[in-house]
Amino acid sequence: MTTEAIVHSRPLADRPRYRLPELAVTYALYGLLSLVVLFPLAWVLLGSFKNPGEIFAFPTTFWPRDFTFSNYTDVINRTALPTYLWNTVIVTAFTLVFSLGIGTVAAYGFSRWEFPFKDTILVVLLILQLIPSTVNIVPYYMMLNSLDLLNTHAGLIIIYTAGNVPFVIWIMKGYFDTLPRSLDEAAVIDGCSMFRVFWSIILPLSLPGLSAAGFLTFLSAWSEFLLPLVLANSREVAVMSVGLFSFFGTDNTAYHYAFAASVMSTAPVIIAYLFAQEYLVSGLASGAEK
Amino acid sequence: MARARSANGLSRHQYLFFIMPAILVVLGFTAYPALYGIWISLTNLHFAYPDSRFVGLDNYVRFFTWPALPQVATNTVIFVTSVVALQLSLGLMIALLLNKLVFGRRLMRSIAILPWVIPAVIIGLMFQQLFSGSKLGIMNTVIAMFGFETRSWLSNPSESMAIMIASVVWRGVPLSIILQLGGLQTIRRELYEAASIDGASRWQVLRYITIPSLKPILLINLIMATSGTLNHVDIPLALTGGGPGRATEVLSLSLYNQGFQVLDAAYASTIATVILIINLILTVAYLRVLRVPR
Repeated sequence: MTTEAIVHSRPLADRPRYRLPELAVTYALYGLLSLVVLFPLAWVLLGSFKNPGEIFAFPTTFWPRDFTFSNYTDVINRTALPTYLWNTVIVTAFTLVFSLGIGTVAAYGFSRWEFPFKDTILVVLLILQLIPSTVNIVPYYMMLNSLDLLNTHAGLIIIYTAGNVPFVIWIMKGYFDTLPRSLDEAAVIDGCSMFRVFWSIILPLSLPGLSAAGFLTFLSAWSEFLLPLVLANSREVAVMSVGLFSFFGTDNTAYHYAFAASVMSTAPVIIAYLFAQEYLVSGLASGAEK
Repeated sequence: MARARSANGLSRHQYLFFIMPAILVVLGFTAYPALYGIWISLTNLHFAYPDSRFVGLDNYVRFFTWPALPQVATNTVIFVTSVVALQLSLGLMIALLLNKLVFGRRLMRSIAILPWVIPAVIIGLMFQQLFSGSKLGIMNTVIAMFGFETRSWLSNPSESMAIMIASVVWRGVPLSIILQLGGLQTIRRELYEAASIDGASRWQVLRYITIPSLKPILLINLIMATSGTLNHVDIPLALTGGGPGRATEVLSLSLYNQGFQVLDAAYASTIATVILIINLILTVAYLRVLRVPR
């Protein structure tokens, strides 16, 4: 909602000149920050290429003595990780479709019509978003139990969708508000229905906003931990986070699998992050302008 | 208004088709469960027994006389205040650093924000392995290089708390950076130019221009970080599970343990309601104390 100005780089001519000592300090801090962020990640990544003998050897090595892919082939062939990842893909994909579908349609409604209590409803949505899923965990369990949806992907998808719809509405409404209403009105005069206008004119113009909202939804659905741990923890339906926690976290004999499994589970979000970065910044920016 | 819109061919109540699905799903799966949870806290619902009945405030009496409460409450206060203070201050420092127009800052921004996208459960497991008590933990190798004795970090109460705080901060700082960097770049440059003409020192610029201008963003950040940390379960659960003993058990973890280890659903809902109320009070209090002048 606030990264607004990151996109608006200042013109080159205006760049201040920094003196050497200041530059030195800046880059020293860059180095320190990179070390703190990248060292733990690099340790996991490099660990995934060590053979088990090296992982359990002392003194601990940082750089693998010889690179091996055996942890990856073992994790794929001998553990249930492929199932967990597939389950995560299914839950995330459906959550994305439903959250973006329901959220953007509603955002369009909020952007294009004036109706009583509109602002109140928007604020209430924002407040409801502040209710953390942690607090709702027992009621969720009871509700899914009575709907016969415990240990199903459908149960998770509904709850994730409800959690993501409010911010999709806020981001997308901000985006739609920047598109002139005359676009819609011209199309309606030409005989388009409002759904048609929304689908063929407005949505294609909203890809940056959609990417930002989609990335945030993807990120939360992919990483969600407590909800699936409680609501869908049987081996067949478990998602990645539950699988890693239950079957690697507590089992020290699987220690050497943990690195490769962690890398495989994190790679999709990091790749999406690298691609979404630019869209993310500009999409969130337009949401902030309200 | 609605009437004016309809004159343009947009039918008057069509908006209902657009907004109703969202409103129904959000009310049904956020507002309803929150109210339902408050109701459960007034019953004696237990996951191991089929029946439950209304018991009034019994669970709240049990909660406030719970022998572990003093420790859990202390842990929670230490955890939340440390995380929020570190997250905000580090976020501000790094945002200021990234706001300098030097070569490489876009790459640095990408790196600095990276922890934000790593799944929390993986961060918990990763820090657990970094600080593994056996000789296998890399931190033990690092401190051994500097001549210190290796130690079993996570079996020491205060060290496990420190590690838990560090790992949650590691993941939380990027959000502060995103928010504050956005805030910094909306500050009008004329203010800085005027200050430099007046010969203001850097500290004065920070104290009298940057921080006051950032106040609304800092406030949003403060609320988000506090409620986020208070409700956070993932990293503590994956990292320490509340141990050793109850040394790192925070309120949100008690909620999970009581509900899904002890199976005492009503007690868990009581803790949930208390957390919900604390969230509410904090938000209102922040808004009052740090009222942003318009």
